[in-house]
Amino acid sequence: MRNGAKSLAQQTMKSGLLAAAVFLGLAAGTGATFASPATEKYAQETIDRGYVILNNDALSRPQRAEQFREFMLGTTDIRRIAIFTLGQYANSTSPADMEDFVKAFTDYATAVYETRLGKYKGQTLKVTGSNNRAADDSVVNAIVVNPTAPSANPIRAAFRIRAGAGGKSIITDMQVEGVWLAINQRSDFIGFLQQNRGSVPALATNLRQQVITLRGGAN
Amino acid sequence: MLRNFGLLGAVLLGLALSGCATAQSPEAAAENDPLEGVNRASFHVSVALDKAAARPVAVAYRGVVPRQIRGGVRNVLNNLGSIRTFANDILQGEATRAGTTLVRFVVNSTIGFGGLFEVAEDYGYPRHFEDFGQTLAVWGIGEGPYLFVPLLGPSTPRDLTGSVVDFFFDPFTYVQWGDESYVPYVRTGLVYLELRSSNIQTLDDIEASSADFYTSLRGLYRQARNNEIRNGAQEIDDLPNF
Repeated sequence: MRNGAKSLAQQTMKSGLLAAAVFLGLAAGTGATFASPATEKYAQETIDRGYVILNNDALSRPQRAEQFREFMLGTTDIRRIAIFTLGQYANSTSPADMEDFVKAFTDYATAVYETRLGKYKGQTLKVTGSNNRAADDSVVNAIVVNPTAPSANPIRAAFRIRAGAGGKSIITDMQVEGVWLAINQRSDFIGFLQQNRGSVPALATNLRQQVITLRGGAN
Repeated sequence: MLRNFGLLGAVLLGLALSGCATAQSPEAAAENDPLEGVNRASFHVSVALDKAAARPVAVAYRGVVPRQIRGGVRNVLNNLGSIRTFANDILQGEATRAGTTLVRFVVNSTIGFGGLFEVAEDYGYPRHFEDFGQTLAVWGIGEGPYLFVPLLGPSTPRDLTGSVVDFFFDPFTYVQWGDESYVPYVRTGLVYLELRSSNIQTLDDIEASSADFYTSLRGLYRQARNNEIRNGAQEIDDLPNF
């Protein structure tokens, strides 16, 4: 139990890096071929692009945040992740409420990303291998490398990459030290919905309030 | 000793209560949390106590005690925990990992001045943790329903049972200073102080970005715990399709 709690804490500590990465549902035109080497290459290149922005000291904090936002929104299928996080409640949500939620979720995801990922500036990620679940569903494993504090026990990460619309590769979730972020977000949101009579608009409002808090803390 | 039997009794009570579970939502069933109402109450009490006492103490500890000293305390505690890890490595049949733990303990206890300095990692012996809850899982024992234990946090009957067994595994449980046996209590207090102080910002961030802090922690615990049991091995078969 003590170790369990400790490990939990360690993982959550590391999850700052990850919080945003869930939303790196990065789409890229790598074609429909889905062999693991190509998937690994795609994951490495995409994450490297993200880290180029993160590690660019020439950017001011607002500039970096804006570039990251563009990077995310230009490459992410946030709608897919947003709907997933609603679990069973997605089926009973009206189209209007769903649109509103997806918008709130997008802003929330971006705010979490902006505030948390900045704390892990300077780190890099190295792909170490992959596993295929299906022809269009792979998990690419990686380690997080901190050049200033190399460790014999590096943080382990993974990306789930699926084929999206038009055969594009899409990262639908990210794992750090065994914790899949979108899956945990779904637990979080469903817990909220259970406590609030399944009100997706209430969840959207909650997310908007969190954005205010997160951005307030970031300024 | 009575305290230990009390804890064991609590575990058994938890197991018994889990058998009394009534109707639950599909999502609650998926999270295996039939005692959610009780757990949430326990969670809210624990969070209130944490904010009133544990967090302020942890903040003060972090603010007053220099980082190097806190690091030394952490290293000593980790080194003492190696004994429990070694026992569970053996019980899980993990000879290589047991060897690593043994080497780590010897190196850190000697070259590392009683565990004050973490030097084994530099020699290529990375740290890992094992406990009897994990051992029970490796032996095929089910985890049972999710529990939020007041002051202790997320757990399951399996992990609570493991904690009791680990307590008896630990040689420091039997250490006495004169006629008093406060050594294990001091050590336990330091473990939790160190744990809480190391995660002040982390827990604050999780709370700030959670729609439902309770279920967010529950999900984190479940996934993290399963990852520990698998020793970090990737498990992809049970991932949801989306």
